[in-house]
Order: sequence, then structure tokens, then C-alpha cells
Amino acid sequence: MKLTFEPAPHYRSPQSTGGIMKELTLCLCAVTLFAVIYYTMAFGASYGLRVVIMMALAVLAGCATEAVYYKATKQDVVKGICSSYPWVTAMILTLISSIDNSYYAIVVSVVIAIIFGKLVFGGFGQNIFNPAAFGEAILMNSFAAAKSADFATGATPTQAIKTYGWMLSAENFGPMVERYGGLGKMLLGQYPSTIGSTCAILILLCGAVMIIRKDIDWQAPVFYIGTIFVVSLLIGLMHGAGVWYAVFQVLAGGVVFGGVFMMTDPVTSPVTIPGRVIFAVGAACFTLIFRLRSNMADGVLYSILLMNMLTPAIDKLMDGNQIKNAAKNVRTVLIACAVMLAITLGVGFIAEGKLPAGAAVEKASETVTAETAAVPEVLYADNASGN
Amino acid sequence: MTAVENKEAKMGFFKEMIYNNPVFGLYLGICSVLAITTTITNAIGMGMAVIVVLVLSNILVSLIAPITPDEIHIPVYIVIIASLVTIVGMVMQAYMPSLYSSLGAFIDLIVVNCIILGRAEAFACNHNPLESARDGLMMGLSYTFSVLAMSFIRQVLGTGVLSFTNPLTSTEVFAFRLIPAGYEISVFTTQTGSFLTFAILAALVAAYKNANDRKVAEAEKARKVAAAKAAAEAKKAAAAKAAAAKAEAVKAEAPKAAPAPAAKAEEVKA
Repeated sequence: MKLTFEPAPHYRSPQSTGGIMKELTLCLCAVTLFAVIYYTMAFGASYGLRVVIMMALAVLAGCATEAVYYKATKQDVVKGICSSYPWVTAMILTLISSIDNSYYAIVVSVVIAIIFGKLVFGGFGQNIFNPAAFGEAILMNSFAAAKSADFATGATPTQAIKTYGWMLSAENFGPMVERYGGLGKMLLGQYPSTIGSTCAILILLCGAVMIIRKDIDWQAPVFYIGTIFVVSLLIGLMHGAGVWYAVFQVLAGGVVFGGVFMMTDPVTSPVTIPGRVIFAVGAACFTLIFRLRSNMADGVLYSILLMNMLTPAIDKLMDGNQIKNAAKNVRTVLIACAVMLAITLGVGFIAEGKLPAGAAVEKASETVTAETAAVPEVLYADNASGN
Repeated sequence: MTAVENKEAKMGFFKEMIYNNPVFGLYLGICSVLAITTTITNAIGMGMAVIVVLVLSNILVSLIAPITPDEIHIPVYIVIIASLVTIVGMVMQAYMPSLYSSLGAFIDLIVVNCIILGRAEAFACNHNPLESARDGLMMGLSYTFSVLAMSFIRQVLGTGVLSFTNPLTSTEVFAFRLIPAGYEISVFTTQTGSFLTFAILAALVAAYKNANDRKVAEAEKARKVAAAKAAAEAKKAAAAKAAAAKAEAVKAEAPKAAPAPAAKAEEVKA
């Protein structure tokens, strides 16, 4: 009999980190390909080309940053880059930013994301925050004023519904969602938003493939998207909105993309399964609270960053033998989730829909003039990019 | 204590500024540093105010410390510092109103700035006024140096323009655009950028200190090894010498042995 000795943890999964990252990269490539095709078809070849150049520059900048870092710290450059996956960060960052950001903004954000989001913590596997989300936060806070007017795509659904305070009555909802071709087109990704987060069907397909191939766990995306759907359904019912409101909450903005590609980051999410449930439900609650009460257009990004910050605490809460402590852990999860959901529902209950400034005009005169009056206001409303 | 002082005395001006830097070395007074380092003008104004308060408070504290009962020394120091800060604040309000309004509450908050009370507690209360004044000037200069470094980075990266306004006349002395418009990273003008810049600079100072300490330690080690080697060699040489001397002594003893009894005999005779 042959005995093997190795230090814990004893890794039984056939999937290596490299394999997972390869499949994740392929999925991100598929999403990018869809974005290129959509922007080319809808806005023209220059838009499609812009997506390609943005992506290439971001990946190049990410790899170059790591190369310089490894060179400076006298480590093996090729080995370092291959085991640190800077291109995943760069690709996710590009996919969650909108197309009117300048190339310079993308490159600087990727460099800052890689250095301050990842390398200073000790590289891949040590970072506290999702580096792509960190870089996107820098991008939104730094370059909101320096957007290229040549590539404007109009208000995104999140910006449009933001002017109503994320709370709509049925008669306002129809015309608003009509601008994006209805919920069906939103499901297929036929509307302008951030580059990669539009096509819910494709992203969910990628997620399903990765779950089947055991690249990611199903808990985080399912609980995240599910909580957003159920809670916004309840909030919608409180205010007389239908199922369409919950569907819109899930489809608009970065919920699906964030749930599949960012919540499942193995580095910045909790280790245990009950921990991941708390993580996902908490992020969903934060997303809804941010949407309803803050002045940001979409809360997905910051909710993920906030829960990243709480990950060590969640891990500590769920520490210990998972099988022996199963009952206790389930109880903890239930209590934590109940508290968070109650707070979110409370926030939803006191949330009030508001009418945008142009709406009064809309009622008085014909719709066309109001539309033109409302759109510029939407475009320049705070620093909200689509995410 | 004498060893520490000797070490400090040996360090150059620049090195002392890095080693005893109140902001990046001792992490004192960070609140004001994070808040006011948006422009170079603010940084210089704040630095000057801190230098004045620090030097004067150090002198006063060192004068008053011998007659202060130990139980109430902190309130006494605080009252001294608060009076000085009020004077500085009023002078600033009178002669540099624009600077005063842009620094706002942070002028008054110099009272609770840890650097000033820290130096009063750690240095001024048991040194003479001259030494205390020098220490206050040194610390104030390192503080100014730190806020200048931070505000330089933040202003250039955040706004793209490096400018300085004369606080007395509110006229612009110079303004260069170092980064073309549209390429500035405006996050550096916010608190996020402030923390980022602070972290980078503190890390650099720590890295410099570590490298320097390592170098010093290595030099020390090398010196010790050399000394040990020299000592061993000296010992060897001494041993060889001793052996040689012994041998010589043995050699010398042989002829000496003969006259010795004679001498003894003479002694006995005497």
C-alpha cells in the first residue's frame, strides 16, 4: 500500500485553478463576442471596433503591469502572469464599464485595479476586494466627466428608472421599457448598458456551463439573483407593481453579470457554502437598498465590494466543522438572512416612486417634447455609469 | 538614551526627516494630513501653522515643565497649545483669509494634533528650551515636507495642474498644467485618493527604512565578523608571540640558571 503525505487542504477536485480560469476566460470571450456583434449591428462598425480595442488595451495593460511588478520584485515574469490571471480582471472590468469611457480611463483603471486591488495585498489569492470591481469604482469616480461624446448610446435602463426612484407605476413602466424594446429584448441583450452585462440569456448560459463543469458553485448566483427577484417582487406588490417590476430589476444593470462572474470569485467570496449564501443574500439586499435609496444608478458594484469587505467576518462566523455544526450554521444563515431581508423590505416599503423633472411637461404637452427634455437630464445625472 | 541621541546626532538632515517623520514614520497627525492635502497652497499654509505652534509650544513647555505638578501636566500643555493655535488662527484669519477659509476647522484642530502634544510629552518636558525649539522646528519641517509630498501627488494626479497661490495676497504665483485636460485621475482629489497616496508614501518610507536598517545591520555584522577575525588573529599572533617568548624564555633561562645561584649567594653574603 502506498501512502502519500501532503499538507492540508487535501484537494480532491479534478479542476485546477488554471482549468477554472481557462473556462472563465472562454465564457468572458463569448460575452465579449456578443457585445462586439451587438454594438456593430446596432450602432455601426466603429462601436464594435471600439469594444475590441478597449478589451485588447485592458488585457495588455493588465499583463504589462504584472510583468513590470514581477520584474521589479525579481520574480519569474511568465510564471507570475500565468498564475495570477490579470486578463480576467481586465476583461471583467471592461465588460462592466460603458462604451463611452475613454481608452485612457480603462487603461488607468486596470493598472490601479491590478496594483492596488491585487498586487499590494500579495497577488492572486490574497486580495480582499474583487479587483475588477475595485477598478470599476475608480473608473466611475475618476473619469465620469471625461466620457467620449462620440460614442454616446443614450440612457441605460438603470439610469432611466433611476429618475423614477426605481419605483414605477404600470402606466409609466410601459413607455420606459418600450425604449429598450420590452423585457424580451432586454433578456436577449438588445439594449445599451455596460458593454458586457446586457445579454442575460448568454450570461446565464455561461453560468450554467461553469456550474455543470464545477468551475463555480451554484449557491452565489442563484441566491443573489433569486433574492433580488423575490424581494423586488414583494416590494413591487407593496406598491402595486406586477411581476414585470421584479423581472426588470433582475435584467437591468449588472445583476446577472455580477451574480455569475463577480459573486463567484473564489478569492473574495466566503469559503463555506452557508457563508456563500449569506454573502449572496447580503449583496442582493445591499443592491436593492442602493437602488432604492442612494443616488447611484445601480448598486451591484458597491454591494459586491461591501460584501467582499464582510467576507472575513462571514468566514469567521461559519468557521469549524461544517458537518458537525450544520444545524447551527443553518440557524445562523436563517437569522442573518431574515434580518437583512426584513431591513430591505422595510426600505422598500418606505420607498416612494418619484416623477422625473420632465414628467410634468409630459402630462401637459405631447410625449415627444418631454422625451427630449428628459434625456439630457438623464445623461448627466450624477456620476452614474450603467453599473 | 545617550545612544539614541548619538544616533540622531549622527544622522543627516534628510535621513532624520525620513526616520523621525511624524506622519509616515510615527503615523501621528494623520487626520489633518488626509484632509488638507488637496493643494500645495493648503499644505504650505498648514505646514507653516504647525511649525509655528510646534516651536513655540515646545519652548514654552520646556520652560514650564519643571514647575508643573505631574498630575495636571496634560491640561497645562493643552492650554498652552490651544492659546498658541488660537493666536495663529486669528493671525491667519486677519492676513490670509482665503487660506483660513480653505483650511477651515483643521486650523483649530491643530490643538488636538498628536504631533504637538506628543513632542511636548516626549521631548520638550525634559530638555532645555534651545533643544526643544530645534526639535519643534525639525518635526514641523518633516510634517510640512510630508504634506507637501502628498499634496503634490494628489494635486498633480487629481487636477493635472500644479499651482501655488500666495496666501497673503491671494494671487497665483505659478500654475503649470502637467497632465493634459481630460487625462487627470480625479479620484485623487477625494478622500479615497488621499488614503491611497498616504498608503503609497508610508509604504515607501517603511521600505526605505527597512532597506537602510538591513544595510546598517549587515555593515554591523560585517564589522563584527571582521573584528572577531582580527581578534582571533591577534589572539593567534599573541599565542605565537607567547610561545615564541616562552621558547625564548626557556632558551634564556638556560644560561640564566647558572648566574642565578651566584646572585643568590651574593645576596646571602650581603
